[in-house]
Amino acid sequence: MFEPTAFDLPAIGTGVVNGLVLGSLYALASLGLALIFGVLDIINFAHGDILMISSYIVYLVALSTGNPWIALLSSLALFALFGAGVYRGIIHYVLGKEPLIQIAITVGLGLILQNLALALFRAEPRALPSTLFPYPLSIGPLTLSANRVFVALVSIILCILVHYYSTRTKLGLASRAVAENREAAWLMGINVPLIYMATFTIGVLLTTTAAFLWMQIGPVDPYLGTIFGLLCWIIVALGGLGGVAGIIASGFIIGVLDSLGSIFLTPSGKYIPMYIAFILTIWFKPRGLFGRR
Amino acid sequence: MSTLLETRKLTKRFGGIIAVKEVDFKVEKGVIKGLIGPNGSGKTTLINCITGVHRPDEGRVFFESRDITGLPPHRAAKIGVARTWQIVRPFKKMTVLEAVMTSALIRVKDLSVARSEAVDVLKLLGFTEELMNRRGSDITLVQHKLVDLARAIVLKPKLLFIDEIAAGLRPVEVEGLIDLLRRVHRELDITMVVVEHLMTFIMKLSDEIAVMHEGQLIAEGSPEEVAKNPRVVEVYLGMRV
Amino acid sequence: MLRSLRRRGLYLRLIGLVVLLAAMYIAFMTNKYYLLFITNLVFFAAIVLAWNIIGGYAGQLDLGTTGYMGVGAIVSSILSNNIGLHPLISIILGGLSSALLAGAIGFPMFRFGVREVWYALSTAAIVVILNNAVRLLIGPYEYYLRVRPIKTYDELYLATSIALVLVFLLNHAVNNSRLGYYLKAIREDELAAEAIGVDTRRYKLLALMIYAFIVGSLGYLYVVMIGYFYTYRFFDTGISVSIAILGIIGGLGSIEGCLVSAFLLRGVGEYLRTSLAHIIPGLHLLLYGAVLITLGVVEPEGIPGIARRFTTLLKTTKRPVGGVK
Repeated sequence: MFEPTAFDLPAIGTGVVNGLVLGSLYALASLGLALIFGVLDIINFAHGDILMISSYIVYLVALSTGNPWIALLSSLALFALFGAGVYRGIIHYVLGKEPLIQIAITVGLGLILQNLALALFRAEPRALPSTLFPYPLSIGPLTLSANRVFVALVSIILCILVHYYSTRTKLGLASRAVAENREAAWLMGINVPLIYMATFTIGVLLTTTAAFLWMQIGPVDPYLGTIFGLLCWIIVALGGLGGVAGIIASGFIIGVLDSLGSIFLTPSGKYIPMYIAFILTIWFKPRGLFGRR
Repeated sequence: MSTLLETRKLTKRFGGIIAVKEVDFKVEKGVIKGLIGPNGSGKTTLINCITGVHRPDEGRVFFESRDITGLPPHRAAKIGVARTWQIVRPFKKMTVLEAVMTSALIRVKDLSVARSEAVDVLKLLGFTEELMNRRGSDITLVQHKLVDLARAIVLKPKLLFIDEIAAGLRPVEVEGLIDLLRRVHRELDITMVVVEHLMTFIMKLSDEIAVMHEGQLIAEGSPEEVAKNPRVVEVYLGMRV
Repeated sequence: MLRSLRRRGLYLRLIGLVVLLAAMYIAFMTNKYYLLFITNLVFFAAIVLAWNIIGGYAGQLDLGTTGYMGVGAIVSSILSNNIGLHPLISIILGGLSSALLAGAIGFPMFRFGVREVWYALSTAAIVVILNNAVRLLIGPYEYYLRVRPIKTYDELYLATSIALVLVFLLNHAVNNSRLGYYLKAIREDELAAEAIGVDTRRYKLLALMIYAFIVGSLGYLYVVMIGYFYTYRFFDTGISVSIAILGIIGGLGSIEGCLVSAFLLRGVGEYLRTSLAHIIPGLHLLLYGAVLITLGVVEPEGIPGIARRFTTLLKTTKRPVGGVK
């Protein structure tokens, strides 16, 4: 279980920092899920696969146009449409229905996305040949890829923006009202279907952005969604639905566990503590470590 | 007359809200006791605390002189405390008969005996054979409420809490319900606590009435006494009359 | 009267199932590849029917099937292969160990009121943990059975068919028993079931352990069927999810629905997978996905729901010519 490869401090330091980088990205990816689950009460098992497909689109456009920013913008545009379309065409019909049906439908969507990717791109991982900032940065005793710093910074900034969105903007506050009590919000004049569509689309867009960032530091394969999906659910479970801070904190925890685990434990070993922590949280602290359910 | 149910200083809080505050609620065997009060006065919470859906924060519940505080709902049902639901909780994919049979199976091991008991209760409540074989998803609201009632009755409970059964029903349905409940009370010898908003319903049905307001019992007595009680009037009309 | 009718219905269905199994055998017995194919179908039909007890009757979205299968497979394989116990005894002991594991997991879960998506995620997480833990314990190798208790493909098909018939009968027994009524009530509305006296925790645990026992016992059969044990092949969350999907599409609690979905849907899926895998990998899963979404939106009650709509359609179109509209 333990591989005594590098028990030295710089390695641990790099591991932790990488973990924080990953963690911030995980947090951003999980925010989309948390928003959709919190406001629409929809259990989305296709979340990871949406991220995976977004990654592939980013990859394709970046590869063909050579410009990563066009890739980002076109992906956002495309997935805004995708989000609205999936909402209107599928999610809309299962709002308020039994959780089992929602799970079934989103699993179905996930399966379709995953195997579409498998059919179109095959199983070999694809990585961007040129990322945004592919040069090393020295921060104190540690050396880090500038890409990673960029990813971490952008993720955190976006998370903070989401926090402001949900606490300061009209749409955000209205969404929270709907999350608390749908009927009351409706009676107060809030256009609930519009909020649903908007929140779902925003959730998808956050995921697409996370995908863009992911492509700067890692490859994509059709099964990326499964890994990411489960991780996001773990983070949402740990973080609770109380607010962005909880998600960021649990994102960091999972990210660091993931990163340190990769260094010191065999692949098998690293998942065990993560999933055990997950189960224990669900059982004993259903409101998450930090927030409300 | 013996005391069937008694709560002592029953208290239940939800976060900062005190839903039920030091309530001493007493039910004598054989009565139909009405429980009224404005929305949010704690009536359903009181029922939930007694029937085990909630755990009271303070106080005790005594049933037939036995302390049943905190007993889970299925145990409460087994010792004779049953209830119906304010918002119906149907078994959608089962037929009406199957739903009531499930209840009967708590007391009776044999399926065919359970079936005949369920049929008897459903007939008493006016169900035809065709209706009994309809799925829970295919019946009307008033039929749901009667199924709910049947589920509770077939347990042969000693005490039955009926939570706002008249809500959402038409006047003619309400009248029928009063007669039905009286029959059930008489023929099956079930002590009842009826929570209701409809004043005429409660006044006609109850032997005695208790009034709750903001978690506390503020009045008790015969229907006439309660109707004239100035505090009750103030609570309902929001002003002194 | 109703009871004898029901008995007659059960006999008819049992005969129908046996006839179907026999017919499939006769159709494919000459080709070993196809014989193995239908053996696989029959096997997973049994698994789906076992899942029906926890998922269809009790209404718990259990994604731990492959976990229980794997544990049972390991225990029975070690007992029969390494220690030399008789296969049937090993199977039963394997099933018991799965049931014990299920009890150990289920007890705290039901006690803490873990439900719906959190139950699903917990059970899926258990499979992942088991996968990794077992890999650490016994290594990522393929373990072959030294002694194969079943020598021919025909015997294998027979054994699997017997297993399916047994699980089929068990499902019917549960369906028409007190346990069945309690479980279905729990599925419909757990709180209402509690209020009429059903000890929901106890019966959910019972259903879980029965299902784990069956699935654990069948684990050994799966090892025999594929010839070896390999952690990734057994502790696969994807397979768990597929089984739950088949159970859901079959309509929760419908025995015939489960059989139709396991044989028909999975049959087509497996055919697509094995024949077109090199051209379009994952086509069978695309099919599952499309069916799931369509069903979820149009007919959430699955195959029995569709059947019901069909029969009501037939009833309403059976009007006499020139009848009143």
